[in-house]
This record gives sequence, C-alpha cells and structure tokens, in this order.
Amino acid sequence: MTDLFPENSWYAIGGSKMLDPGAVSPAHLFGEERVVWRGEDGVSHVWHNRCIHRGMRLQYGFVDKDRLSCRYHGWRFGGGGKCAYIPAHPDMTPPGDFCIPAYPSVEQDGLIWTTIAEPDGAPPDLSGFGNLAFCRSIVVDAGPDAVARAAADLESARPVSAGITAAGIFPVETLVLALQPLDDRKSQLHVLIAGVSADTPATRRRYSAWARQFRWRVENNGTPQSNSQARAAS
Amino acid sequence: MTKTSDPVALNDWQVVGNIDEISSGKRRNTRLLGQYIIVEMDGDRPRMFEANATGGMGREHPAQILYGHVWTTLGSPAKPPLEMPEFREDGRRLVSCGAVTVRASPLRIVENFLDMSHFPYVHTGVLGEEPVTEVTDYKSEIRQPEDELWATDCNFFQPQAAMSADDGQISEYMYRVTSPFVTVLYKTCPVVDGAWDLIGIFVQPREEDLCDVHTFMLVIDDVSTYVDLVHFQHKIFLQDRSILENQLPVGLPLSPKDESAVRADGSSMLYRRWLREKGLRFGTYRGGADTQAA
Repeated sequence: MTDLFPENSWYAIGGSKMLDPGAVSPAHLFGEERVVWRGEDGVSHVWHNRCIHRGMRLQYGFVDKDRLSCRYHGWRFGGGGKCAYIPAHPDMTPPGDFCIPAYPSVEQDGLIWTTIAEPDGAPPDLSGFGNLAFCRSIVVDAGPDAVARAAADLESARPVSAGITAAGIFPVETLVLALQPLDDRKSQLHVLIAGVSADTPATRRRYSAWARQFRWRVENNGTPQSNSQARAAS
Repeated sequence: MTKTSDPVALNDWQVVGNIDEISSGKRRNTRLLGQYIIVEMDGDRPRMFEANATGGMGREHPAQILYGHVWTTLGSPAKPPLEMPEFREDGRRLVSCGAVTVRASPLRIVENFLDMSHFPYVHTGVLGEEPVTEVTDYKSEIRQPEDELWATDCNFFQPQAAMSADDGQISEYMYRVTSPFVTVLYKTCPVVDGAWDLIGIFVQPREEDLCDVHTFMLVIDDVSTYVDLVHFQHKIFLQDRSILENQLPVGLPLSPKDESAVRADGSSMLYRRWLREKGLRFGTYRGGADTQAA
C-alpha cells in the first residue's frame, strides 16, 4: 500500500466480459488472494480465496446455480459468502457464522471493481469518456508505483482517480488504464478504449500491441523495445 | 531450512524410502525434518547419516527395515514403530507404491487421509459420488496405553472402492494414526467377507511444507496386477495432492477457532487436539502471516 493507492479506493480486477456465468477465477490485490466468480444468475462475487472449513483455495471450486461450491468437500456458499449447504450432513442447517469473507463486487464501465477496506463512495465514473470498450488485461512484472509513474509519463496523460490514467496515445481514441496492484512487485493493467471505433478488432489489436510494448518499457526501465524483441515477445 | 529443534518430531521413527528404492545399491540422498541425510544399505542393514556441509557422511543415526520400508530417526524415540500384525498373515500382498512428493504440511496430508467427506468431490466416481454424500456418525478416540488415534464404524458408499471392486458398495473403514506422520486405514475387502485390506501412508517430512509420501497397500487380491494396483493408488493420491497443495494456511491450524468444523470432522478435530497435547510444532500453523519457518 502506498499513498498512490489508498486502501479504501476501488480497484478494477478484471473485465466483466472475461467472466462468464459459471466461471471461477483467482485474483490478487495488494498481496491478498481473492476468488472472483459469476453465478448462473449473472451476479459476480469477490471473496476471500479460502474455504473456512479446511482452507482450500476456492478458485478451484465450481458454480452450482447461484452458489460457489468448494472443490474439497462440496460446501456451498451463496450471496454474501454465507454457507448454505454441507453435503456431509445434508439435513443440517449450517451455522450462521459459517461465512466466507466477502468484498464488494461492482460492475461498471466494463470492469469488475472491488476494495480491500470499507470503500469511500462508488467506483470512479468513467461514463464521461463515452463509448468505452474493454480491450485486454496485462500483467506487468513491476510494482504498482513504477507502473503508475510510467502511465503518468505517457503523452497527454491525465490522472482520473487512484490507479486510473487517461491518455491519447493514438489519434481519435482515448486510452484509459486501470491499475490493479497485485503485490509489491507485480501489477495488472486493464486497458479500456474510448471512442467511436473503440470496440473493433483492429482497434483492439492496435492497443493490445501498444500494451505489450508499454509493459516492455516498464519492465526494462524505459528502454524501447526493438523490432526483433517485439516479434519474439508477441 | 536446517534440522528442526522440535523434540516431538525428532524423537519419533520416520520412513525415508522403501527397500526397492534403496537396496539396489543406490544411495538415497534426501531430507528429513530439515536435515540433509544419506540412506544406504550395508548388506542387509540400512544405515542413515546426516550429510555434513560438504555432502559427506556426518553423524550416524539408527535405521531399521520394517514393512518393506526403511525407518529411521534423528532423535531418541520412546517407542518402536507401529505394530501391524496383518503383515504376518498368509495370502496378503504388500504393494509399495513409492514416494509422491507433495508441497504441503505433513499434518495436512495425514488429516486428509482420515477424511471421508471429500470422497464425492475429490475422488468423484471412484470413492464417492453425489448425491450420496452423507457421513454417518462414527466413533473416534485416543486408545491408551498405545497412544493411538482410532476412528471406527466409518461407512461410506463408494462407486469403485478398490481395484478389485466390480460395482458400488458401502465400504466400512477403520482409521488409525500411530504417530503424527504415520497413518493406516483398514477397509472392507471386496473379495473376502470379513477381511480388511490395509492402506497406509508413511509421510516423510522433508520440510514443514514439503513431504515425500510413501504409500503401501497390504491387500487380499490375487487378480489385479502390481501395476494396476499402483496405478489405482497413484490416481487417488494425485487427486488428493491437487487439494493438499492449495490449502491455506500451509501449516495445520491446531486451534479449534481457526477453521470451521462439523460432526464429520470428528477424527480431524481429535487429531488436532492430540497433536496439540503432544506439543508438536513441526508442520503446524503458528499464527501471523502464514510461514513455513520453524
């Protein structure tokens, strides 16, 4: 945690369209493990990635309608992380304190947002950018402060809120970067594009290639990537 | 890490290999409780040495062969390894399945071995299957004076209980833990009425979070080939490993407050209490950020 990334801010942890109904996925935020999953009812959840029973990582679980089942003993957990069913004792009502710690999960502007502490208001409103499309996520092997500095150094960069930077790196569209601090040494960037042609394959390819080069620069202390290195990396 | 200072772990017999792996003239260079060791055969006699800083042979410790495996200790055990009289019975086959390395606490491995309620989810279609998931009440106790944990009257419906099983059966189990890292189960033999098959794990704790698990079966089965039996056992154990390497915290929490439990976890809760009363530290969760340090 640093001054740039307050505990009570909202952080994007993935693109909404990357999490289908029934999908279960791990996520990291400030070194803590989360499980992100979407019920068949379409609702997304962000929980502590650990079953309260025998400590199994819930990211290996499976979705049963609108509940997440732990892979180890099949304990089912519903909204708010509350244990709803224990297969070893099918007739038992699980005690009320059998609960996975749950965190906010808000879907807005194509991203899934969460916090690690009591949030300060709502996630940043990006609707002002108009026609915003999710492009990709990319893990950068560098701490969040270094990635944030590199984003701030982009041409025409302007800070939007904690971890969010907008820039005009190509003509026409606006790039919006949402930074997810994975831990002290790793970050993930969620790349959004705003503009009339934002949601086309050609635009996505262009920004996706730009994101790979941006990652290269951050990981190599600002050295631009040569053409042969770019070919090898793609 | 270096050799643990935990006297409970040190003053006990541990398995460090089976005789097929060591008697062929090969030395086994391995680790036990954080200490690099060298195991070799001197004729019929197993010997174990601490490896010194240059990899040479340092201090020698006691070693013996029992149940097809090499047992050794870095301390002074108060009692011999467990008694298994079934090894003297005719008509049984000993199948040593070799070592499987698992990145987990030895205590999580033993606890998982005692657990029935994971069968439908981890060993789906073999040792269990939804919707028959109920764990009926069983009995668990510490037996004195032998100081062993026993769980009895354990019944579970199994689609394919053993290599020799043609279809589903209600299997009856008895579980026995004779030391923190040694456990054996007795299971209804699908072939002979009233007989029990034995399946056991001798966990070799290399580090607090890294083990070699030596598995054996002592079964009445003159049909299945050795390879089939080993494959069956490996399939089951590798399914367990995918769980064991993903439990948090890595160390086993011994306080009842740290993890939620239900009736089906009776043997697990008793195992944790038994370890707590022994004062064992090696492989336990000791609070704070999860740590593998001793």
